[in-house]
Formats: sequence, C-alpha cells, structure tokens
Amino acid sequence: MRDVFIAGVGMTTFGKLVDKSLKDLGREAAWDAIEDSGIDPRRIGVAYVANTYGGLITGQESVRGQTILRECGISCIPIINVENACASGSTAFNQAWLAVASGQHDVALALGVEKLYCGDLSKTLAALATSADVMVEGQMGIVFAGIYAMRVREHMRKYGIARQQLAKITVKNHFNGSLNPKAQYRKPLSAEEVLSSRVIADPITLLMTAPVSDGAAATVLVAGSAAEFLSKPKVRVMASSLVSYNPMAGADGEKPTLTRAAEAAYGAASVGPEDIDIAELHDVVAPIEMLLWEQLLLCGPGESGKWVDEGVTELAGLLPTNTSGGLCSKGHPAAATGLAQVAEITWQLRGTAGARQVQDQPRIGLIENGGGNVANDTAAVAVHILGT
Amino acid sequence: MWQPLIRGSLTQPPDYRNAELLGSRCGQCDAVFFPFQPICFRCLTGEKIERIVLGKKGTLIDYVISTVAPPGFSVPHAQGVLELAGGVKILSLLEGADFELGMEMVLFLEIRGEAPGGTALVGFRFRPAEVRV
Repeated sequence: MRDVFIAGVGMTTFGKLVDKSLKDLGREAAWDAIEDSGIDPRRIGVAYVANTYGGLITGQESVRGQTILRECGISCIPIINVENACASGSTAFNQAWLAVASGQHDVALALGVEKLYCGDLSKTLAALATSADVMVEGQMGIVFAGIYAMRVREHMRKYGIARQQLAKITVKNHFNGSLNPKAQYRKPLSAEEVLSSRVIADPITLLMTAPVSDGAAATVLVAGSAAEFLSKPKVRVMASSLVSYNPMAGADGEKPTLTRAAEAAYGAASVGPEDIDIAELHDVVAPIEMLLWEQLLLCGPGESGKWVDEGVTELAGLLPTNTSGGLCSKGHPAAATGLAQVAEITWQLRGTAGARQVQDQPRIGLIENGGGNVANDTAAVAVHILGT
Repeated sequence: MWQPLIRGSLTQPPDYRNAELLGSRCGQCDAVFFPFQPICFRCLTGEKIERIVLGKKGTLIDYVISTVAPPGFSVPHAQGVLELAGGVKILSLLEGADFELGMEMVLFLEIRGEAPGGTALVGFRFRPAEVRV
C-alpha cells in the first residue's frame, strides 16, 4: 500500500441553510478542497460522494453523487455513492484513501453533503429513524436519544460521574465552537444553561445534543509520488479503519466495537493511544465523549471523570478533543461530519486553525466517526489517524 | 389470525396473548440471538440453528424515559434493556411510569397494526411484574 497525503480540505459553514441545495453545498465544499489542494481537478481519478438522507429529504434517492457533482463540472470518472448513516463521510474517506493507497488512482475526492432542514421537522425525524433496523428496533420505537442516554447513565452509575461533569464537556465543545467560523453555534454556554435546558432523556438535556444541520465537507487525497509539491507540513493518512456492528457487543468479555476499530488503526499506523495529540470525536451527545475516550484507549477504564475534572481534553489541555466544537456546537449534517472532522485535524496539524489552534504543534490526530444502530450496537464506525 | 410485528420475535400460539419471546440458538457455539436469526453470526452457518423460547420474563438492567418519541408512539417514551433467562439482553419499550434497576418485568403483548390482508400485527413491551401501589 502506498502513502496517501491530504492535499486539500474544505467545508461550508454548518447550519440551517435553507437557501442551499445539496448541489450548492457540494459545489462549495468540493471546490474549496480542490482549490486548497492546488491540484488540477482534471487529475481527480475517482470520487466518493457521501449522503445519507437525500432520498427522503429531497427526493433524490438514486445517483446523488452524480447529480451533486454535476454543477461541480465533474463527470466521466467513477463516482461512487456512499451511505453509512452518520459515518457516511468517514466511509467515503476510507474508500478514497484505499483507492489511492492501492495504486488504483493517484488523486481521489471524498465529498460529504447533507440537508436535514426541509421545513418539516417530522419528515426530518422520520428520516433519522431509518438509521436503525426498520424491521426490528425501528418497529419497537427505539429512539437514538434513549440509547445514548442509557449508555451515559450506565457510565455515571459505574464510575460515580456527576451531572456537572456532563455539563463541563458540553461547555468545552461550545466554547471551542465559538472560535470556529464554520460552526453552527458560536456562543459559549455555561454549565447552568446546559443543565437547565429541556430534558430530552435524562440525564441528556437539549443543549447536550447535536443539532439538525445542513452542510458539506470534502477532502482531496493524493498519492505520495504526486505529493512533492504539497507545502509543509504534509499531512499523511497513517491509518483508516472501518468496522461494523457486533451483535454480541453487550456481552461480558466482548470488546467494544469502537475499541476494535481503534486497535486496527493504531496497529496500521504503528502508534499507540499515548501518541495521539488531538482528536475529533463523534459527540452525538457531548457526554458520550467520556465513553469514547475510554473505548479509544486514550484513557483507562473509569478515568474519564478525572479527565473532565482536570480539563485534559480542553483546548489548552494535554489532549484536546473536538477543537472544532464537535457535533454539538459545529453541527451535524450527517454525511458531511466525517469529512469535517478530517478538515479540522488537517488544519490543526498544519497550524492554520486560527483562534482555536492548539498551541503545542500537534503532530498526530485521531478521528472517530460512527453512525446508525443495529442490534443495539453502532452500525458503522471509522477511526482514522492523520500525522505530519 | 396474527403475526409478530417483528419477524422472528414471538412464538405463535393461536391466542397472541400466550405468545413468548422467540430467539435462535446455534447448536455449534451455543450463541443465542434475538430475534430469531437464521445464520449464526459467529459460525457463519445456519446448519445448527434451533428455535429457542426465551420466555415472558426479564430483569430490567437499564432504562430511560425520553420526552421525544418516533411517529406513532406517545411521550413519555420509556425504553430499556432486559436480561432474559440465559443471559440474553434485549432492547424493549417499557409500559408504566415507575422503574427501578433490577426490577422483574413481564412481557406485555399488544396489537400494533394490521398487515395488508387484515392479519393483526402483534408487538411487545415489558411492564413491571408487580404493580406498585
């Protein structure tokens, strides 16, 4: 497998972008990434376009990638439509990386686009519900917010975590988002505001949850042999790992699915969790970060509470997480999220993240992006490791 | 005439109210799955798959009450994780308003709709085994 570098990244602002279509969002993000890369776009050999809910929200059920890339002027090359619920963007990244690493193409585009606002919240909620098995848990009426709330509650019981600590993580993400011009919400929040907002599923309150969002993000990947012209520091894809649900994930002695994905990534990158300087994590609800830090082996079992208290993952901490604001503050246009995480880590590793730049010149960044729910486990999870 | 809303989730006695949870057990590795799963996830074969009755009782090992519910369900919306005999854990909606971890729960069956042709579709929830006063 060849070395693969990130030549360019781009993203739209995330938010309630009612005047923008999938095509508008896709064009903006794709061309931002292409221009950032400095590569002649005619050299793009393959495009992976991620979009999760376009069929239900806009009616474009089929060939979404081709219709989105049409106004980008991109045609003729292989275009693959990618869907893996909220992990669609990371799946597109993983496949684009593989296309270049395998030697099949020298330049690949990964683009994630989502529109969730459509003027009818019940239509949006019905679309989101299709990321569970519609013949099983969907028929039971299982809600995602409930699934995450139960996981957080169990963690709280097991390790004596307090509500204030859940709020602190939420405050961290919103503070970081306030420094991110692309974020949907750019207002710092206090712990009191977080805890007093509407209860969704105790202990999760409204301000702890990721919003509904529109937006797009993209990456241009290039083979090492074509990467000499890239300015320093060059960001390399050290690993990209993708796994699926484990129906036995809840059983005693069974490794969490996220740990499986992370170990594969650490192994492929020849690094350990202690080498990670910065991480973008999939905070569907901000408090879930505690479980993510542990399952990614960044901290030990039960240490996440201490990490919150000591501010380890804050912007000025030892291992900043979600410097972008995370899903809660930056927003979560499902298929765009994975690629926005790639953009954030790339900017941080390059030293161009502006007001939210982590000062200590991070060199190795980790991205975790998960989506869907099947058999009470996340349907798809990706972990990527990028390094300079 | 009735059938389970979730395929492979219930036994099918003539009266739906006598139904019990149904799963599958792989004769090769002993893994149990709910609902009935035709091919074992571990062994990747269906040769030794058997139906297994999982009963009508479970212990509540986790639960949450949510203020949001999908279309067709009302709030407050209670869901939880039940541990059935043999250690199988399943997600289920809960009936009732007062829950406690470790509570004994029993299966509650209800008609949730109709298939084309008029067959009743039967779904399930769990409710506390003892009604508390």
